[in-house]
Amino acid sequence: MAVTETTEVRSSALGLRLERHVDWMIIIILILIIGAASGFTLAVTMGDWEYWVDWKDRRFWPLVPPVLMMIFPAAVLGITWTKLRIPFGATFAVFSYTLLKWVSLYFNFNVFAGFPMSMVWQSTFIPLAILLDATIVITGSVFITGFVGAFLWGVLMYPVNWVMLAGFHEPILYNGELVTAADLMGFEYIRTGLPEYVRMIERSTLRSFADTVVPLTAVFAGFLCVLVFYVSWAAGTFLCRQTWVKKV
Amino acid sequence: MALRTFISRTARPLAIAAVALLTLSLFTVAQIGPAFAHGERAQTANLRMRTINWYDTEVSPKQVAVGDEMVIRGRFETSKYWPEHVPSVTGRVYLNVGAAGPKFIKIKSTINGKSMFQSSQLELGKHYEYEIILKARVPGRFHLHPVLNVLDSGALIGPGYWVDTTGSFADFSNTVETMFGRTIDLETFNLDIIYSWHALWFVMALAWLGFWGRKSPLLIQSLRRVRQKEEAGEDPDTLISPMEKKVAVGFMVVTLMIIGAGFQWAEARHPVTTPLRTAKMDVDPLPLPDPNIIIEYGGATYRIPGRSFQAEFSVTNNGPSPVRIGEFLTANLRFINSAVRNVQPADSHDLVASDGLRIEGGPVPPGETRKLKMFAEDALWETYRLTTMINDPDSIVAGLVFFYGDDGSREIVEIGGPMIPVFE
Ligand SMILES: [Cu+2]
Repeated sequence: MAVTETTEVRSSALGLRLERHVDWMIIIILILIIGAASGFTLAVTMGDWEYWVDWKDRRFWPLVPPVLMMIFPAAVLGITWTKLRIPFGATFAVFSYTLLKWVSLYFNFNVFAGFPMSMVWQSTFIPLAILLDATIVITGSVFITGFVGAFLWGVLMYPVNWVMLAGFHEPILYNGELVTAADLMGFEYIRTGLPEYVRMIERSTLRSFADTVVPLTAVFAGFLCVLVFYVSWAAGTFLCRQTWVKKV
Repeated sequence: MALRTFISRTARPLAIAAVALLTLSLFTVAQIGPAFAHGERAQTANLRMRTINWYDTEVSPKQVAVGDEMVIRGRFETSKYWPEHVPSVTGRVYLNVGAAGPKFIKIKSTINGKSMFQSSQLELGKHYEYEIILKARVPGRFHLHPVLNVLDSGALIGPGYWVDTTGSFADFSNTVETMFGRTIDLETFNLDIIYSWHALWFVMALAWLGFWGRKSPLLIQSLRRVRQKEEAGEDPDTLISPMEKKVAVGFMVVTLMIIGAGFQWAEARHPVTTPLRTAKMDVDPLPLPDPNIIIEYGGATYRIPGRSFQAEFSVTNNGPSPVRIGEFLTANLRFINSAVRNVQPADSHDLVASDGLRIEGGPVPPGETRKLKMFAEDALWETYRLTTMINDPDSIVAGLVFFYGDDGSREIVEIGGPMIPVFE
């Protein structure tokens, strides 16, 4: 073949077609890699529990998942922004993760293990990722994006997902006990190796002022998300410096 | 570098990495339940003999249709020889069912009549009576066990029984009514909202991704443009056009508005909600009469070639009628003295040795003390890997001895102490 030089490829129609192929191939592979890697990171760092309906509490659920979920989107946005000026890194990462997670939840927990989907649904982080991506377009500043976008990410995780969760927390009188639909599902659908007490959830203490638990947690989550954003962004852009991207 | 080489060099390792990670992430998650079907033999002999002694276990009816109820009930004794290094029931326990996933739903569970909706704590060396009411959900043949989950120790499994469920899963529904009069089916509850909300955000994500991916080819061109700007000493931020900034502002405003509206909608629909329940249930041991029988343990041996367990003890009978040993129970294995009782295995996996117990020394008359020798001999020792107790550092055995009086009374005494293996 005569066409071997990059300069020639660039100008030819064949080159454009090839580049489009490369685009699609890379994008599809990245969806798989980034989606799977974020899922894996979450499973390793916080354990795999976010999707159980009876683990979504007011203290740990609005705190741990959003903070750890920030790791990959921030790094990917760091790379797509600094190298390409394409500001969809966070949305791309979260989109990939959410897509693969649904596949995993559906097959592993519904088809294979037999739990109703109502009991094993994941939270969504997509709106938070769009806000983060949009912030960097509007401000062009990594600092402000971390301060505003990442903070919103932590603060808004609960309201975003409360839409899906609220119904599960309506009180039910069951055999003379006050419970919620979420508790009831945890009790009824048998999980031999996962007893009630292993849930990482808010235990009642004298300190908890019922109505302020969520806002306080959300603000705290916001601050942690800001920190994770900066660290992860730096890590992403640093790693990217040495990779194949440079060589093209 | 030539484009072709670039493709061939990067594509394959990337694809391999993608597939590997995907497999990893999809299959690391399903370890709850299914692996459990017959975990009976997995735990060390020590753990099975000296933790929970399950007895009088009963599953009825054993044949049900989808939607019907089934009861697992019985009693257990919390061993007073509980190994020191194993966290015990005095911490936190949860009454559960050993099953391969939610083939049944657990609609009620009690210990001594107290609800076990949440976890509880128990005392050692006491007897408890439990009841678990199930509702059949999926048709099939299943092996069910009562289970006590003990915090930091794991699931302690009781005896298992085969049950059959007929009918069709499609007929199963699980409705409850909330305190606001809303009737919900937990099988499908809120799925319309969950799916719609996720779908809405997927559409938003695709719109955002599509907008930025509208220029095609995308990746290599963008990389090149940024590089050119940098090499020319210009700010690559100028690659973002004012129109693109306006679109970003639009996305931000719309996203915030949807979040706000969604939250308001949920609050309006469910004005009153309660947090997840975490109370610890209190339960007292069964009130049992003072024991009439007193046992003094005189040592035990296990003869490996004959699979023969022997224990010696002196028994004092303070009761009104002569007593005889009818059963020895340890680690869910039941050795029956056929001279006293007729007990047959309920199914192929019921751990009953109907003629596995022999007693030397005869009945103990009222008011007397006799030295008894007990022989528990059966292949079950080997099958259920209790012979591994020889490898335990402390070689202490324990189990329940069932005394039957001529007047029909029954008294259960736990024995325990060191055991010495005999090798030839
Ligand atoms: Cu079994």
